[in-house]
Amino acid sequence: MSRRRKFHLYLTVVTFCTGFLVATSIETTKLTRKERINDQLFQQETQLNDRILSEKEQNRHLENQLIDLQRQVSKVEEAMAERKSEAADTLSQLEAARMLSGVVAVEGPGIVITMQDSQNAANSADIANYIVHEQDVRLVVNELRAAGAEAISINGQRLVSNSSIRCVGPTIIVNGIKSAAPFVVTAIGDPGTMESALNLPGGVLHSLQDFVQIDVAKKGPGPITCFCR
Amino acid sequence: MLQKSRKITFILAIISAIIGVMLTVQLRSSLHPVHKESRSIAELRTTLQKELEKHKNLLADISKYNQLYYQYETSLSEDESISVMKEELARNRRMAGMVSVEGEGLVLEVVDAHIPDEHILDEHMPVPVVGDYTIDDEDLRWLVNILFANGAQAVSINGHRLISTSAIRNVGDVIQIDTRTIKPPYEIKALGEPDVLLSAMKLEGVEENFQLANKKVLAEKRDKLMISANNETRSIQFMKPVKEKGDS
Repeated sequence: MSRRRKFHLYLTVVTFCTGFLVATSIETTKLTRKERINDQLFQQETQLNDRILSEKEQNRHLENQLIDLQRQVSKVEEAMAERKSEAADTLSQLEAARMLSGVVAVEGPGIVITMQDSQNAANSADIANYIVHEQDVRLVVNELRAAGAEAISINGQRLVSNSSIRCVGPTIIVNGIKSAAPFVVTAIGDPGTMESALNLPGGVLHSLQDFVQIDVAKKGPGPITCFCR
Repeated sequence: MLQKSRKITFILAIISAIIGVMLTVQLRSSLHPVHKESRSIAELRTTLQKELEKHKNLLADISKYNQLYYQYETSLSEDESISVMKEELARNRRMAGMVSVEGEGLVLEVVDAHIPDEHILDEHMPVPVVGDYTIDDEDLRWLVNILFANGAQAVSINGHRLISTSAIRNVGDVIQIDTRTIKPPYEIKALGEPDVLLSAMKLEGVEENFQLANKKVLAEKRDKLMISANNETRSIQFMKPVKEKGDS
């Protein structure tokens, strides 16, 4: 009987070891495969990075080209305006229309509002209350418009006549361009009016301040990027 | 007896083999956690996509300005170049919403939903309070936002064309667009593909949301829809075009 028991013990040890061996070998082959995949991923990553860099470089060139072109065009227009008064009238209208439609970059006095999720969002019971929602951004934008803002951009995207503000997860989509928090709303207009409109008792800042982090800063003339279509 | 112990041996062997495998896998996976490489790849892809999109837009703009420049240069007389300028002006005014536009679209009407007939309600039963809750400015902003997000080119509410500076807000009991008061029933016109707009509204739950205020949204597709221009004069006091080469 004790011999038999001994035999059992040996068998246990041996089969244990066998199992160990089998698993190890499987894992090792898997690991090498994973390494190979990692290698591939790494290559893909560097390729993507290279493409992004070259694309950015190209875009910068194109942007400069566009600005040059715009300048050339405005030079021609100004020359025409000097020669003929009718052209001058049209040009002033055209410049206004361009600014209103948002095809040219504009600058002027204004304010900058930064909206962020509250820092104690993680600790609170109801997290949804403490993060910035699309309606919060819309509320601020709406208030700015009512206070006479002439041009507004969100994270560098100019709001035009058919812009929408959408949230998908933690990002915001304006003009089809996605960007992440913090959400920076830049508005050109009378800084005093806009600031006091936001600060009204029971107004936008009051209702949002308890929930999200929101900072208002007056700013001197600064360009608002154009949204070109 | 012998058979029984052999059986035990057999079972023991299998069990210990399994335990061995399990132990190893456990050890291995806790020692080498799987790296999530795919995430950064996905991020890079979206960045690239964004850049490509920007590239496309820039090219389109450049070709537009090139064409304009070419038209200016090739115009034979002053009058011709002025007409080129006027065309450009018209194009920009259209984009700014200062010109009425026409096309296929959707007409939405926000009307009172049917209140259940009074005689169905028992005298002792409290009448459901629905009248207190009305549509406010955010409801309209939300609806308009959905329309724009799904490709609407132009939207007007009760004939007021919305532009980049239009504010929709509650002033007292009424809703104002810019400085003009609008009164229910609200009629919203949207220029865009009707089917896309309709399905987007269904997806976002427009109907359910307005039902809370006891309102119904009636949608009607139109092949030919006219949306009037925004005729308010807008004086520009603060902004001016950026002339110098900026970082943007």
